[in-house]
Amino acid sequence: MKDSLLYDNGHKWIVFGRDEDKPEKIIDTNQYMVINGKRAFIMDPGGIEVFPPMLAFVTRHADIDNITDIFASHQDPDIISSLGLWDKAIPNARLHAPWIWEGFIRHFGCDNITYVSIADEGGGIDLDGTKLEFIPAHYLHASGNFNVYDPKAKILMSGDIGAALESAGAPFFVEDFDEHTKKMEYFHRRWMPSNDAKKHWIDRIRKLDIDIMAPQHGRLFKGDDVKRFLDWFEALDVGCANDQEEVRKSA
Amino acid sequence: MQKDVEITTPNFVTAATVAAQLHQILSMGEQLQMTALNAAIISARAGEQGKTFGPLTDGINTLAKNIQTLVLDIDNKSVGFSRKSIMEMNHQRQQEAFNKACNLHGEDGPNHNKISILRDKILTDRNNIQQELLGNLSEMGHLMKEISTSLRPTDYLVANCRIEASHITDFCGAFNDVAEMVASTSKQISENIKKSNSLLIQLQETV
Repeated sequence: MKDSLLYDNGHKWIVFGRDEDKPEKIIDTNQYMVINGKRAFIMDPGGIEVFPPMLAFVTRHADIDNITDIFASHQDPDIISSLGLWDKAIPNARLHAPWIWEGFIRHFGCDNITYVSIADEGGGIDLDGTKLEFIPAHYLHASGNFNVYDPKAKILMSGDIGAALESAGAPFFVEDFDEHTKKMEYFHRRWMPSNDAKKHWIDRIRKLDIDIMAPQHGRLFKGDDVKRFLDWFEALDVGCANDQEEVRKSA
Repeated sequence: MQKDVEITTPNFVTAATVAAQLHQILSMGEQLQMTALNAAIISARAGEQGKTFGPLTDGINTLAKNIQTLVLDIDNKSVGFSRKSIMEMNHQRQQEAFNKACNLHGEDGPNHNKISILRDKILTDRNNIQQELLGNLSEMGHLMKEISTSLRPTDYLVANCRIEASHITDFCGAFNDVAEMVASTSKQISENIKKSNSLLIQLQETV
């Protein structure tokens, strides 16, 4: 696993990912952590398989007792199946996750951690003065789904939106946007079910001031590539599973 | 409002704490390398008189590199330990589930033998994992001892630095600073090793 500092001005953003030791058939994931003073907040902490290196890397930056909050954008195993282990490591922490998934996510094990439901319209967290917003991104791809936006750092953690299927050795940032679209296209067409939801999200996101868009898989977008992504995604027709041509291609 | 839950710290968390503590040694190693570089620069400026510092500079550099290699090795082993520790925990859960299944099924049930065999296999696997965990801890302990051993020449390096410094009037202060830096960094490393060692002993007792 590798880690990289994304922002360091009063509070910190760190990305963890590119785990070369993970089993081959498990999709690579990006995990994020915001640290402000004595509080740390982990976003989409990942699956059971990435938990050991994640814990090792996270504790290099923050004391284990200072990890007070975690966030799950949705209920998928690559997002939060490690919950049962975090539940033992940081029993006093809180998990912020969509309300509709509470009964599902608890299957991963949540005896000690407090589940804080996020309402459909969104919400936020105040990390000792650093305010982070939970932005609705429903149906992109899960039916209850959120992004995290930091207005001070101008970073949007976009969950599966902007995800690409990459090798473990890939750099953290997009270097050639046009080339990168090849690694994103099928994922977005197949995993994102609704053009209507996509439009809602794009309208909402265009109003935010974003320097870095940080997805849960693949590379991060910086500067003008954020706008390029929004334009590209807007033009993309999603929800292709019933398109017979697509079904044949993926078979 | 946070609730205050007291549960036993799982072994994989303790292993991560050991790794995080040892990881700090990497930056101490970097500090030693910088000190060695600094010493080389001062030595070059001191000209002919500074030549005796060459072997000492090399000594500091070698010490730093050895320590960093050992720390990275322990780092990998601690992640391996965490993985196995989680596997062991899962096996414990499976074992409990199979015990329940056996009880619910009753000794007269048609698949009682099959379920018992599965339960016993899980128990054997769990014992094997516990052995591997102990082996892993012993390897980590061995590597920590190696770090302590590689720190031994530090006293010699520091003492020689001071002796050489006393012969070079113009750069005496600078060389003494190098000696101080090496001595204090090595002390910090020793303290980190000591703390990590006591956690490792805790782990050995709980596996």
